Amino acid sequence: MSTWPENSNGTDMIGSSVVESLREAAVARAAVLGLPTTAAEDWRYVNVAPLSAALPPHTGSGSARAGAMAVIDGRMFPEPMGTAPTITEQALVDEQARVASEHEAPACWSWLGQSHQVRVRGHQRLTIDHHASTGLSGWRLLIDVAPQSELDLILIHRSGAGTRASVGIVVRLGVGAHLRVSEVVPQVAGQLLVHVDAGVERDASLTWTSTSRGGELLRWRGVVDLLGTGAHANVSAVDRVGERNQAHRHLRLRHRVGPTTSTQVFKTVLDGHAIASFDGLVDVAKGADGANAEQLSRTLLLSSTARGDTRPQLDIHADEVKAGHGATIGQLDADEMLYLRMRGLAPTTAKGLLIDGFVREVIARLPHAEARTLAEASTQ
Amino acid sequence: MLHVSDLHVSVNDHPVLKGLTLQVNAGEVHAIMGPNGSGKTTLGRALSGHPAFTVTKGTATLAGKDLLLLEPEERSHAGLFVSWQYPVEVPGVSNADFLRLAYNAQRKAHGKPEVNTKDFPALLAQKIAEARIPPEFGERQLNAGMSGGQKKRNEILQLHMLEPTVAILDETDSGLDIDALKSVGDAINAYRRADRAIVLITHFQRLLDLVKPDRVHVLTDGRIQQSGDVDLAGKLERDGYDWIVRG
Repeated sequence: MSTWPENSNGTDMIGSSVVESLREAAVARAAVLGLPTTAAEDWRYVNVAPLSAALPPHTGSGSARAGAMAVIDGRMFPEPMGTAPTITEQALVDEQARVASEHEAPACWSWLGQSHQVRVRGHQRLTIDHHASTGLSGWRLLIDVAPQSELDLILIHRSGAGTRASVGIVVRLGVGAHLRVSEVVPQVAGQLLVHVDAGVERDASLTWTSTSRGGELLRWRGVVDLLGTGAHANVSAVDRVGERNQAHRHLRLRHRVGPTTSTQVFKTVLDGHAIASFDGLVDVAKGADGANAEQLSRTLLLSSTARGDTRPQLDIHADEVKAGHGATIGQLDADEMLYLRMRGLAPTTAKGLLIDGFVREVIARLPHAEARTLAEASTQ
Repeated sequence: MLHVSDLHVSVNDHPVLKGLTLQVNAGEVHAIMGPNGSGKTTLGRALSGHPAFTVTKGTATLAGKDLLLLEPEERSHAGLFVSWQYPVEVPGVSNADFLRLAYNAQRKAHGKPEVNTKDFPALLAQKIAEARIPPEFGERQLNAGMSGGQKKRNEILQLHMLEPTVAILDETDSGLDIDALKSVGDAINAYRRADRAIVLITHFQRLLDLVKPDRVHVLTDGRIQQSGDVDLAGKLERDGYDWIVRG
């Protein structure tokens, strides 16, 4: 069993007795589940050894900058949209149900930190700058975008060696709502475990693009439910991972009704002894006719000692569906290299340009210019 | 300028060029025509250093430099440009970034200062105008998402940017509509200079109507079987290659 629940000093972060009971339920659930192991299919490709390290509990401190929320070692310093966010009763009820059913210990761990809700009416823009500087931390965010409203969210995770941060984000998009997320992990992370759970109602859209340099253990897990006709999800990520770092992406994209559309693009560049995996499922429910799903996974292996695994899956129960998926794992394209060399580029320059191009295809999908700048600087 | 003598080239141990000899002088435009599979593309690929094309005999020099001893990028630095019949798509790499790096690689190889990112856009705009292509080509990705004709025109932009002394253009006219062919013809003519040479590999006289060659060669069965002036192209257009193949 992880030392996390026992070691964590969550008491000072509890905002109310209701939250406290939820936290207790989460900790109890995490204790029952124990540490993730590779015996679980979801963790099969992950080097779980870093999870067994005993880390000190967090000591939260810090301040927020204007127009942004800062999450520092699990504590949130909010200053968004003029008022401090609060957790509604209904949201807590929803979360109670979630904690009871979570089958992943790290998802429960995010309850060790504070929980907040961002409610959006109209068009809002928000930056969340997440710092994990010491030991263990967890935080949880509920994003509720009202019908016909929009949120542009830039989410930055900063953490280093010797840290373990568990982040849980629950998204509810009302009818005709839109959420655009640029998620950037600008430096090699420590242990960073991100869980995203999104529900997308009729004519609403979710765009979530994520970039990272991997981490001691970086794992991103998403569940996206397309709940109403015309709902759309566009999820993409690129991880450029070297040395002995890891990056794992795990997505369940569920078309509950049709017509609905989804696209996924997941790319990875691996060097050194890096480990990465993509486990993506497109699940089209019975009766979700008119669903249209595209999934692409590409892994570039730059060294013989790196390891990449990819599992693209389609699970289709409807009759009228357009679905396609492609997955490749390989080295740099020899023709592309030759083409660049024939134009005078040295092999090292040509290689660098091709890798940057491979990565940039996803960076270009980041919805926000400042996130693209941050991601480009960190992945080149 | 370009001297190719008794060149033998094999692909997967299959001989394709079987003693090709060609001399192209500064200021000249040569056209190489020939039936499919005669070895036209092999000539360009072999000279540019493609590893799948093995030179088994012969010599090739450019301004006195032995091309066959050089790596592909060194051949480019020596002044050789070989366009691709089917230019490869490189998604994610911007045309502008690629052209700047390629241009600076040439500058560096010749001991000249590199052009910085601030000054490069003006140079690129000038080259785009010289190449007679739309300005937005600079913002596009390297050949990715382009039509066949657009890729050919993008290679003409590379030609103007890199300023080689010898350009071998492999079926640059294929896939071009009438207006694009005219633009490409104009761009090639604009590139002609007394200290440069151009070799056009083509199947059709239409390009040669726009870019008048000084010499026309017919390549069959791995060798140049016939050479002449521009009238030879007209005869080929009328009579085909049979009369040459049958001797």
